[in-house]
Amino acid sequence: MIEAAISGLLQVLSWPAFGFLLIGGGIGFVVGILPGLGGLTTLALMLPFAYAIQEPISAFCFLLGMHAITGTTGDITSILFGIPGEGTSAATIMDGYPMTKNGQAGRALGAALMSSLVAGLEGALILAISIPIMRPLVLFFGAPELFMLTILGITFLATLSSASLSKGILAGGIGLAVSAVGIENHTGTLRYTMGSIYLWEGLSLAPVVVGLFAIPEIVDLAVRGSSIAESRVEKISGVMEGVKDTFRHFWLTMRCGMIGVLVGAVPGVGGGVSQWMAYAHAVQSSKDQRRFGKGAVEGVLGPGAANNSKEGGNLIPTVAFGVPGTTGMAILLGAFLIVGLTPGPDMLTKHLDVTLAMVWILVISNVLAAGVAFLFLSQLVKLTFVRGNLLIPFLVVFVFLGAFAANNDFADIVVALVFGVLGYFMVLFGWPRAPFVLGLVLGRLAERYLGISLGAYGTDWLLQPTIVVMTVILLGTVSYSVYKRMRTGGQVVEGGVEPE
Amino acid sequence: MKIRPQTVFGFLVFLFFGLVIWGAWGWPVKAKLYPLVIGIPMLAMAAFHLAMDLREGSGKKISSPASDDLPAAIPADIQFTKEIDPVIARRRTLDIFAWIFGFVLAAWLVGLSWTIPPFVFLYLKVKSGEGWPLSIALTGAVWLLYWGLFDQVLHLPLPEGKIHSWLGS
Amino acid sequence: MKWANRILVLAAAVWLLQGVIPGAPESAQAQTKPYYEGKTILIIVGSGPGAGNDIRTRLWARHASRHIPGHPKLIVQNRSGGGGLRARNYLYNIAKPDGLTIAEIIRGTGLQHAIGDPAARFEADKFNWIGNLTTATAICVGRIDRVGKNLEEAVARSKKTQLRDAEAGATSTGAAIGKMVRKFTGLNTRQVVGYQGGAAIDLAIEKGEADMRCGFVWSSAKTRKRQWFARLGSKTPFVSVLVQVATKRHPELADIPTLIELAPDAEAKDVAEMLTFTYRNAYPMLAPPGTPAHVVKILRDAFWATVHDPQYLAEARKIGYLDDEPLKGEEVQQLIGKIVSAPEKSRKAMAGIVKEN
Repeated sequence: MIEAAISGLLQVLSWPAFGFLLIGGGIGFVVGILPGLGGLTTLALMLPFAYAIQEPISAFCFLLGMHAITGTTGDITSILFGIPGEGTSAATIMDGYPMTKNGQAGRALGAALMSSLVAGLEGALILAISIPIMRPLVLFFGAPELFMLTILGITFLATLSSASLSKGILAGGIGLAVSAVGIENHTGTLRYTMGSIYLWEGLSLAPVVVGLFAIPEIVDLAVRGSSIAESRVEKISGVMEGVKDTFRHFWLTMRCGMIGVLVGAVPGVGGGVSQWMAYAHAVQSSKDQRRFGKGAVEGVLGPGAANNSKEGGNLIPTVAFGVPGTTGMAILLGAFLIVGLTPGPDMLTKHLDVTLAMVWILVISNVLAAGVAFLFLSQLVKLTFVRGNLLIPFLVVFVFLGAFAANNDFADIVVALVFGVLGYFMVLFGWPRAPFVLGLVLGRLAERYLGISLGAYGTDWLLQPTIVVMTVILLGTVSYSVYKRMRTGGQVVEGGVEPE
Repeated sequence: MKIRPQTVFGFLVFLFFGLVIWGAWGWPVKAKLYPLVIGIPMLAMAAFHLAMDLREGSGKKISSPASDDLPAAIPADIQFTKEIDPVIARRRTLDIFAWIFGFVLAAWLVGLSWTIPPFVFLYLKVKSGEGWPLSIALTGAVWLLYWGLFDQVLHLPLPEGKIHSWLGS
Repeated sequence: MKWANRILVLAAAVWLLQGVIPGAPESAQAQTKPYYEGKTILIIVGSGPGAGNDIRTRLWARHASRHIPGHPKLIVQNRSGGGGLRARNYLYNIAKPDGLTIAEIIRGTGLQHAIGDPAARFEADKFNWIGNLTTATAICVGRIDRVGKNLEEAVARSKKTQLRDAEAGATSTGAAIGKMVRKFTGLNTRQVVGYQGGAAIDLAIEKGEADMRCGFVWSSAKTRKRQWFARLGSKTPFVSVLVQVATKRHPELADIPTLIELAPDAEAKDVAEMLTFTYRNAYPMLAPPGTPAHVVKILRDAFWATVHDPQYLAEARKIGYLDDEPLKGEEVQQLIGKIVSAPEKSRKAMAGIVKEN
């Protein structure tokens, strides 16, 4: 194993592999920053380069390096403009953007980048450690266990529902209902497709999330008629403050990184969820939950960490079984085939050096991305002092282009617009958008895994020991959070501050 | 009794879940199970929420839903700015939405390639009153990024406008 | 200015990168200007990026330019949705029939037309079929510990314990094979559906969540799951092959009955043939209806030359995608014709099987 690790590292650092890592990373850097235009689209468009490169390590340096970096730089856009740089980096907006408005952009970015780096390394480490147990681990999680995990994710709705429980749950419900759009697997019924083939495969995350978060921010920017940052109090030294924050809340960062790995390893869940669960965890574990949404640095650290560590988790089912955890991994799987590798047991024995090289790619690209981003930070932060009027046309153009790149269909643009309007009214009337996103992603999975569990085991699975244990844990968590809410919530109502 | 805008939104949510249930009603059991399991309790919840909202709206005096800066336990989400005079804010909101809708409509009519430069230029020159050099330079920058990245590097199949197909055939 | 410099550096990097790809060779000086000279062919793939169809098409596209007079540039774009339906409807109704937009769409175009899918806004036989990158032999496999050594044993065992057949969706072609096998042989199965892709189905079988699957393409089985099969040299085989879907038995599967052989009567045979032809025409390329005949000929010739190009073959072999045999455009056209002109009764029966769940 150690030999393979060293061999993997040397192969990554050798020429031309390292050159490809730099080029891929450069592209990933820019693409991650552009709103909406995800690593996904770029990965798809860059996949054919694998043919030209052919040599496995170089190809992964290029593609995986690019993919790993988009998550990091996607957070930059979220923090600076309140617009998700990626469909999967919306959660950093919640506290990162308020920090920018308060003139603490540097600190928020420093925190996001450092937590990304720390958790990215954590994810790579866990991936490396889990290599010997990878296959039994994945085999252990059957459809019933995965179903329970999605239900656990759905209970996080309550945590993210904050001010008004009913609004939060209803927003989650809208997300769950919207996730039903598309062909139903068991009967082939077309659900809510309104005669459009575009909707057969359901709504894509990127245009929905970009519309939902970007449009309201563009509107707000236009209304304020000023620059994004409302005060210039901070010098760039804030970046170091953010770096220190990461270590002040080191265990939070590590726990959120762990959430990213675990959620990332569940096929189909991926980044759309892990960031929000990490955010919810950051909120839940804080003593003073009132600070969140107004620029609490923990609200940046949590999602920042999960967004990067999830790649390590994603790779587990992809490498061990060829079952991609996310669409991004599905595309990388294509690269496996192109360079002549077959995911499966071979990747853990004969090609162990390649698997470990992938771990190194994650590590090195994370370090590089953070390093380069730190160099650019002062320039990037200056953008938030630019008059809003100059930024708005750029934002509008790239938000819709990014949405369009999801399926190359004009309908993507319409979807972004529709959910943009919805997002505007949700913010206006104090309906939280996070539960909506969680519902949208998890609803589809919950239905799928429930269908498979019932199909494969009837109702017997309900009595499997693992399921019983998971149910107990789940009920415990839910009742604890209800208890906590009732205590604090009760005080709030007594104080006459029934929130909107 | 004055109906508040947020009550209308609550009603639309109620209506949405009603439509979810109504749309699923005729489907085979396996297809409608999920939408109904979600839809029915949510419809009840939306009704409850609406009722509470109406009661609150008629009972308590609330200035404006958005400018209600009570120290909520945890803010639900990002909040819009409240420092701008509501009348100006409303005008600017309608204004920016008009630009956004205009962008999408133009993209649909004449295609993205023919929409982006005029949109950026008009927004800068006409809407924001920037000078000629800055407007032209920034329009050029957007166009270059768009053309270089999306067309030349990524080969996105950028759609032609409806007008092209109407005129073409 | 710093920014401008950085953008320049990036642009240079991208430009250099493009140089890595072997582009179209210098265009040969022809006496009369070839139709495709200086033009770009857009190939629409009816599946997402990274899918088998996508990888095969991009592989073809990388080598095709050499074989098209005028050496056009080829660009591949994905237009997935509705199991290829979105790409088909687009190609039939919107794409210009000038040979500059062609497509590679997952199997099933003929079948969708034949069973009268209301969302299908095309007539499959009106497309100009350019060729089929490769035929596919689909198989049904089951865990040895659950189904035994062959189909007979599986049928006998399934009488005692129902077998769970894992498939993507209830209306997928894989599921249709499973339903036909059930009908034809009395194999007692129930389908467990909802899996995202073949690898997820394989994993479910390894977990023991399901006992068998159909619609497993033999060439994928050979690349992905060699260790499952005794006939591929595995010392600890995991599955038995039960049925194959092919017009004639695959040489490596000579002991396995075909779906057509299992059909108990003439109507069942018709239905089995429709599905078999669908798999035979596994990775077809097509052009919009009304494409000029001389352009179709250029494309068909280029297609045929490309799939025999040594460089193409070497790369295809390397990624394990050199399955059975390519088909000429004319033959694909015939196959599609056979599927859509099957007797109405058989087409209705087929529709019934697809919709049954």
